[in-house]
Amino acid sequence: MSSDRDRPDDDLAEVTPEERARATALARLVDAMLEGQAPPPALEAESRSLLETATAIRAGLGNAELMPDRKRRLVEGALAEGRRVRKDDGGELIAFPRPSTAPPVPVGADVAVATSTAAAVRVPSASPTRRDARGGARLARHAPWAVAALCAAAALVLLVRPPTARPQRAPAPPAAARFAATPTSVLIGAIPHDQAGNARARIDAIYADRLATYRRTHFAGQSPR
Amino acid sequence: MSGTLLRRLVLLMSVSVLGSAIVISCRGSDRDTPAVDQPDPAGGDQALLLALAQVRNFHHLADVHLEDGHPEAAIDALKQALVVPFPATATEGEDVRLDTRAWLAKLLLGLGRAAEAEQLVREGLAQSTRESFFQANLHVVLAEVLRARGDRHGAIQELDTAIQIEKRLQDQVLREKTP
Repeated sequence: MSSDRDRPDDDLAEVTPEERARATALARLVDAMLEGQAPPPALEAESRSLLETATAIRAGLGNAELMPDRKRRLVEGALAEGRRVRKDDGGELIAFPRPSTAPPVPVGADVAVATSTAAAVRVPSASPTRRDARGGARLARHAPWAVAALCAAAALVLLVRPPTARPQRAPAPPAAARFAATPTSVLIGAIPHDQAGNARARIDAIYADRLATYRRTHFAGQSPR
Repeated sequence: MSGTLLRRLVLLMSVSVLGSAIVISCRGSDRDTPAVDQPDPAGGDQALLLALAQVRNFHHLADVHLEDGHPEAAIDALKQALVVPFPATATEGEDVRLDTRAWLAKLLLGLGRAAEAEQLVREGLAQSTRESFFQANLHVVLAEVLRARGDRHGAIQELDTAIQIEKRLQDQVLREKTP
């Protein structure tokens, strides 16, 4: 099956008058589509397919815009829907004037626009917005009681449960290990012969060292009173 | 409006109840769990400090008595220092007792009671379980007592023993200090 892409470049130059006429007709249809005009009701299948392709390409490029009349109708419908939802929340229901006849989506119109238009106009009476509003009101009514019940249950558990022992620190080392003070052989050293009877000074030194070690071991990191 | 007020009141009360329960629960666990990092009042550290403080006080008392010219009272105070109990694992007990005996022996020797001083020192050396500078010091005091009693040979032996002990201890200390 051969297509235009399969043709060599020199074949493109050989355009028949019939092909040129078909291209001109298609160009007119695309121009009419860009201007918002409806396509003719009777159209060849091939031409309709080409026109739809052109429409899709234009929508994909993001250049689609609503016609002013369509835009106005959509805005009015959305505002009316919003007013009706607010009234529903208050208890009074007023109908909003929906467009009696949905304008026919022209074949030449934007596909994306046609889709969004249909979605916007065909808003059901029980819309998700209304359902959300009702759910929010119900939640606001019941939330305090649910929180209260949870708090009461938690309080009950905290009061009833037996006190769990906090993670114990490592057991304190034995006294000998904790009180690793300077050995007296190092603290006092060799005793001079003329100081042989001066025991009072030595025991003062031993006591002072042991007391300092005790304070350092037991009160480390604690601020003084 | 009243419904909103009621809801807020219920919320406030429930949160208050929950907070109170948490506070009570935490305080209860604090009360029931003994603290483990408090020093044991009956532990070895405090017992050693108390014993050292007692011996120290007796030494100071003896010093005051000596200053007041009451050597007998000083001897009595030092004898009381000898019987102060120390924790079994505390080597300081033996050291302090040897040193107390040394001072006591010198006092007795000064009062002319050399035989009593020799007996006191020999008892101390017999009870000694390890070499220490205090043990060496007691050998020096014994040498002094023996010299006073005319036993020069014994004095030389005791001094030689003291020197040997001190040498071994000095070597040991140097080894421990050298990395």
